[in-house]
Amino acid sequence: MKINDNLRLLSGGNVVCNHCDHQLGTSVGNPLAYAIRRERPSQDAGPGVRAPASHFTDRPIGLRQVFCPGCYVLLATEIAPTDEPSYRHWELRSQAEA
Amino acid sequence: MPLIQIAGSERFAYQPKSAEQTRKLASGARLHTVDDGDIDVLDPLTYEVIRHRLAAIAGEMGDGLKRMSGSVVVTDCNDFGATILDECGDSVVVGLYNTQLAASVDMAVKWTLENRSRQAGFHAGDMFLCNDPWVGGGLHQNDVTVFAPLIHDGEVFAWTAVVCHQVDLGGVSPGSWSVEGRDVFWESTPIPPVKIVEAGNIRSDIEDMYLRRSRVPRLIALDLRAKIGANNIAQERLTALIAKYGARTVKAVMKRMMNDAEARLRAKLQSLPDGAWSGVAHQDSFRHSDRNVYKILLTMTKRGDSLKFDFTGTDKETEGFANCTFAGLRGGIMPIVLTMLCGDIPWSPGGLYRCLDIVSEPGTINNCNFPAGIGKASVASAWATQNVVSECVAGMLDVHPDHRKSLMCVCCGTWDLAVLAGLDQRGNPFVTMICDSMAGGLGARVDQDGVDTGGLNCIPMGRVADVEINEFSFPMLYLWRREETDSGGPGRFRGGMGGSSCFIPHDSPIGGVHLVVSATGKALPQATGVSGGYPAGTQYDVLKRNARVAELFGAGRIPSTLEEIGGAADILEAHLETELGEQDVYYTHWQGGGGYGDPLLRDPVLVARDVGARKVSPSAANDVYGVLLNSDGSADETATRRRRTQIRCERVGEPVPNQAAE
Ligand SMILES: [Zn+2]
Repeated sequence: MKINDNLRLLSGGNVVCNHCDHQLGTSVGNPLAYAIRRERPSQDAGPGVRAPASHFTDRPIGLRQVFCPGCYVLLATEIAPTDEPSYRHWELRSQAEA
Repeated sequence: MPLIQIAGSERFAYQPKSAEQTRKLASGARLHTVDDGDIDVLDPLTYEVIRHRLAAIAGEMGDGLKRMSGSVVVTDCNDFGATILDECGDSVVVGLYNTQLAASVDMAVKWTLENRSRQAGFHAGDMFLCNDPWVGGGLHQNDVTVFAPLIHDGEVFAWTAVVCHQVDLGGVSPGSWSVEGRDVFWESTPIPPVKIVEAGNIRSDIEDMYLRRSRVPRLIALDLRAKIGANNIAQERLTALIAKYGARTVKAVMKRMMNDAEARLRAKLQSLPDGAWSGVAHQDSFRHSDRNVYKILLTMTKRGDSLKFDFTGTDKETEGFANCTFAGLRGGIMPIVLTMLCGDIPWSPGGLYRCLDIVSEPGTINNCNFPAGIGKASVASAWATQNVVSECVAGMLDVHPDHRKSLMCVCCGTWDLAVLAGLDQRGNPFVTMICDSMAGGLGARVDQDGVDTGGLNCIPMGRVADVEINEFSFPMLYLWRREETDSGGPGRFRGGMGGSSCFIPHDSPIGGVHLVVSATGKALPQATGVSGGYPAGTQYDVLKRNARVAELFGAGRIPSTLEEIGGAADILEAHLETELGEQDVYYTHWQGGGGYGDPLLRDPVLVARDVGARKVSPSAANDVYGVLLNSDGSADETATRRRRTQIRCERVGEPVPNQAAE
């Protein structure tokens, strides 16, 4: 079952990369357990991030991204305070087709 | 002083009840009803005719309101809601206007049924006014609802309701946008439901009490009459409908519309896999000079045919004016349920709400207690709630081969508010909210880009006022209004672009104008992407003091960049109240929509097209999309392939392979 543009769920509950079939995790627990996580300054997201975050806030703000270890495709992106964990998760409970 | 819940305020902290509970609690009122048998015997043709008639009446309420109102917010921007509710206050149909507003009208009607059925009572020709967001109706005090029982044969048959944004109802700052506010006492005092119209006549004592608080009472009085008129239209049409088909049939249709909406949403949910999706929505700053960042957390669980929205872990209510009440929280959920889950299901929130379960702790920023400040609730914590709901619903829909086509990444992270006040070009006092960010960027879809400056998903018929209308109505002159390069969230499919407006005060007899700025999303973008897609760009407001616009005009030139305008640039914080002098320029740049998928997977031809159309800059094409262009503007395939390999490796910290052999 396709989960999104980058992920597929196999019948055994394994989540794999849609582009290279690399296993990333399991649908229950942590679907991206084996993914690569990187953090960069928020303005590395591109020129759309206009002024530096430090102009407006004393909290550290960063660009956090998650990548497939097999093909380095980008699986998740967020710009968030880096002094707090990432709150973006999901879990699927139903059985998927092969 | 710290926020300490006011004893006695609990009475107004309303939690909506089921129809059965409302019926029991409104024991002082005679409520018309039908039973399941009446619903079962409806023939399909009659059902469809009456159902469409009800939708048409909701639309006509909006038309009527627009023709009678004097506020550009209403007449040109469609920032209002129109709803028809059943006798128990459950929403049967909402107009395609501001669905945030329409989402909480049921609470105000239900509260009124529970608290006003004996005194002041419900009689033909009565209407109630409410702008207490703890009771419901609207999301902040500027959302004033006028709602009316439709009395048939001595019974409450139904309710009609209209709510629209009023430009000023008092409080410390113009526009009731008290950027330095710490609690609700800095703001417009909320009015719980009061009988404003009795037996067809406006109660002047109540009207005076209402208008006395505003900086523009005449405009507010006109809008009050517009709302009364819109209710009158609905009541006349519904009365005619009852005369033609009978009360029992019309009511049976209303009940069946809600039942059908519920059944169809449950069927759709049943077709989706069970799971849980968690997300977060951030807001930078809750008041002037506040440099903190606040979060709303959501875990949305889909099990069987229902959805649970659990906001546990959301930050505690905070001093400032950006909290929202439970009505705001619901107002953040329903617009996404309607637009993403119910594109093919009738918009009957009374039925849809039955599929939803909400868990939220009172005293948090999107379910605050009295007297937490809520002056900008609608575009603050209610909007942020909508963002996180949008993100979680999108994640859920993405797993379904068909329903994924209905998902949209987060749209325009929030409103970029500018309130202008002072004397207009005719010498009259004025206050207005500039609604240009109504042209926010829509989020990307799974198979197409978001619509550039396409609007807001909470106001399907929202629109931006014509530049000429704003210049005609207010003492301002635009240098430009345009889409902004790189404002759409990068992705395999790009988020829609946001835009900017740049204007100067013009022709006011006192020179400049007073300016209130309130816009978060500056420290971090709020319109997030999905499936690796980037968020849209940040909000960016700049005030230029002592600019050289007059000099440029004298030379026959209209400036088109901030650099060309000259003067000293002040990059504005999220919340600020200041003066815009005769020589000053204000530039306001609102957010676009989030992107979908990895930008390195975007078709290079589309990136080249975007660069040609100035939707994406050459530097973003290179750095974010990894697309290099030939001198004729087309994508250089070989160079792009190498650049993308380089970015792929660099972003995970792996060595870049030698590509020279290619
Ligand atoms: Zn991969």
